[in-house]
Order: sequence, then C-alpha cells, then structure tokens
Amino acid sequence: MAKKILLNNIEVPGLANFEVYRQLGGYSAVEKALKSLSPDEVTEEVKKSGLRGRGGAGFPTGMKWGFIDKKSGNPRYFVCNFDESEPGTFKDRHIGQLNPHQLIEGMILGSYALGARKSYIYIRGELFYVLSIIEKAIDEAYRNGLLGENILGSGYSLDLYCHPGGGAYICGEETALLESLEGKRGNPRIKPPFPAVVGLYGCPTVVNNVETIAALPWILNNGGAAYSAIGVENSKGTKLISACGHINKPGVYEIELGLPVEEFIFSDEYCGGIRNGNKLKAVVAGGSSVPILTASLILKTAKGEPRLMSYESLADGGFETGTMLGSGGFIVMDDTTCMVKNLLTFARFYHHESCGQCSPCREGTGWMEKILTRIENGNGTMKDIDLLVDIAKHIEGNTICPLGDAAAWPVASAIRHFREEFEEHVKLQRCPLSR
Amino acid sequence: MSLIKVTIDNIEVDVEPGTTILNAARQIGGSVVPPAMCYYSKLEGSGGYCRTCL
Repeated sequence: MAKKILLNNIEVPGLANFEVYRQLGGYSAVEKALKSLSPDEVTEEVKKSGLRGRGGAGFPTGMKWGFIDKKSGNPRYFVCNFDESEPGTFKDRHIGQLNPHQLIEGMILGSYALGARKSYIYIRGELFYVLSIIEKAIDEAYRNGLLGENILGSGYSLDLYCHPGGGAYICGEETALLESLEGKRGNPRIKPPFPAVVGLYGCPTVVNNVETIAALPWILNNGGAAYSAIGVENSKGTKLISACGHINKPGVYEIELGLPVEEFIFSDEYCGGIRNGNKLKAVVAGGSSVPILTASLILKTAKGEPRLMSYESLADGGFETGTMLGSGGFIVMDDTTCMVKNLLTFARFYHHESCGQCSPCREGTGWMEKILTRIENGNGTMKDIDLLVDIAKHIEGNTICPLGDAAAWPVASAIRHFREEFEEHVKLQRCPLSR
Repeated sequence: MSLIKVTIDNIEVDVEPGTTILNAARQIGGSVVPPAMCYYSKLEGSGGYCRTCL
C-alpha cells in the first residue's frame, strides 16, 4: 500500500466534525507550531519538505513563501485557492467536503508562518454545498479556540473567512482571484508586481492551492525531511489524482509521486484498467489545459523509458512528446473517443471562460471553437487544420495569464499527435466515429 | 535628465526614461508602430491589456 498523507483518515465516518478530527490527532501540528516553532522555522520546514504547488504550476511552496515582503509594514494575507474548475479535476472538492478541518489546520499553519492576521478561503461558486461544510468547520474551530483571538494561549490571532466566488474559471488564476476577492471583475493583473509584494488590497499576499495547504499539517508533524523522503527527483511527497473517463474505477486517488503511469491506469488498486476491455487511445494527464498524449507516449517516453507520475517524467520530451502533471485531472480515453469532438468540448469551454482582456485569447478561442465545430460537422477543409495550429501559435505566450496557453496547448498537441483523425474528418466530410 | 538610446528594427531613437516601447515606436513612426487598442495617452494606467501590440 502506498503511503497516505492527505487521504489517511478520509473513510472515517463523521471526519468533518471537530471532535472526530481532534481524536485522530488533528490540530496537533498547530499546537506544535504555535508553542515551539517560530514562523521562520515553519517556513524552513516547508522549504525542506520540497512541497510544490499542487494547483498546476508546481512552484516550490517554501520559495513562494520566502518571496513575501515582510519589510513593507503592510498587513499580510494568506489566501487559499479553492476555485477548482479545471475540467477533469475534482481533488480539492474531495478534501473540502470530507476533511475540512485538515484544510483549516493548514490555513492556520500557513498564516502563522507568513504572519497573516486575516486569511481567506476563496471557494468556487458551484461548490455551494462544500461552502456550508467549511463554514460549519470554521465555526467549530472558533468555538474550540483554534481561530480568533490568542489561539491556544500562544498570543497569535487569526481570523479565517470563506468567500464564495461566482463560478468563473478565470478566478482560479491567482491575480484574478485577488481581484474577485476585492469585489471587482475577475480580470488577471499584469505581473510584475507579483502578489507576494502587491496582492490582496495592495498588500503582500500568498495564494496556495487546497491540496498544498492540506499537506502542511503532516509536514509539520513529521518534519520536512520525512516528506521529502517520499517521491522521486524534485517531485516530493504524495499527490491527489482525480481519475476520470473510460476507466473501470474513476475517483480520487492518492499516489506517491514516481508511480509508473502504466500501474496507475491498469492496476486494481487505482484505475483498474479500461472499461469493457477496450484499447487505450489517449490520456490527458493533468487537467484539460495540458497537452494530450497518445497511449504509447503516456506509457513510455520518447526515449523508451517507462513514464512515471512525477513533474519531471511527465514533462520529459518537452511539448513535442511530453505533457505536464498539472492539477492532477487524469482523463483517460478509449478507442471509441473522437479526438476532434473532445477537442471541441475543450475549446468551447475556453471560449466561454476567456475573460476577454487580451485580444489573442478572446478572439483566438472563439475562432478555434468555430473551426473545430466546422471540422467535426464535416464542413472543414485541409486548410482549417493548419489554421488551427497557426491560431494556437499566436495565442501562446501573448496573453497576460496562462488561460491563453491552456487553450492553445490542447489544440496544438491534439493536431500534433492525431493529425490523421482530423484529416479523415475532412476527407469523409463527417465524423468517422459517429453513427 | 539623460535620454536613453533605443533601437527598434535597426532604427535608433533617443527617448526619455520611463517611455514605453509603444511610445518609442510611435516616436519613430511609420511601419514600425505596432497596432494598439487599449492605450490612451491621456488615461493614466492604460495600456498593456489588449496584447494586440505583441
């Protein structure tokens, strides 16, 4: 059995209640940190653990905390990014719904390390039922002296708020999230200045993903060195993977980074193989934004080494033959899937969710949706395929936030790996897989 | 204040410190000037958002 850090007690009934969580050793990390460690020692421990941001970018968490401007004298804020809206990703919801106190404990630890007196959980609007669970958990923590004035007699005070968003995908981008939290339209800001210097209300801010924050209690309890002992290369610790698509056992799984992809898809402990004994066709390894890979490329790298579930191994081969770990939304497709239709679904999503600030993304996502609809419906030409590649090239890297890249990468990679299928659509003037 | 030398498309121009690349290109004029939709010289803080100049 693989080591469990985030989902260790997840099957205990009533885990969302304070008493149950406390009995299982919950909030011991807060006790330890507030009584015996200084904020800098907490940061040091996180740096040592090698924990990387679990929201998708994989930026080292300790380093991000180190950038926060402590000299300005302005109040500092710690914000949790719970705006999980990436298609195929549903891991944060799993934590928030079943184990909200783990998230709150992590919030207290992070806020203490950064010296924040007010912290926010920005939750996606659609997850309203999770919001009520977290609100209840926050109330319980206040009643038991773990939030509010003078936590556990340590002299440290913290107020924690849960703020629901309106359900926009773009608000998962950290500067758009801060804009939205301030009450404005969720338009990403031009960086620099980075949020660590000018963030929420113009004050130094750190934004972290739910899963990152939920890993903090374990790191403080067991030490950063114990966490960095798990995993391979620069991919330390465990990661939640939300597996979905044409597999026998969809769901949220916790894996040690470095698990072979083949084992993850076919072993009974995890996905349990492809449904109905079908053949594996393609995998999107980290949420809809990352490049799609063919069956042979996801199981083995271009060099012929077995591919592992880690930041480095999945990125092996760059964008030509590699992909990214991303947010951990693992979408598996069998040979009944039409790649054009799949891509059209993604393109429609990005067109809908583009905030409209940057012209390349606003216009480009719309064109991509239009052209893909044309090809899927049998009205496409060979020129359209090259036009799609051209549009993707012009979006990538020319936008303020990564949504433009996220919209361009799936298109570029799908055409790179499945070009014959696009050409077949054009030649037959219909979708070859539809009846 | 000393002027800064900027070279765009092999054309040299002296600009004041703090000038944006767009304004430097506009000083040269002609085909060097990129398209821009979101910049309005009288509006402070404008520019940089529409990305048509990239």
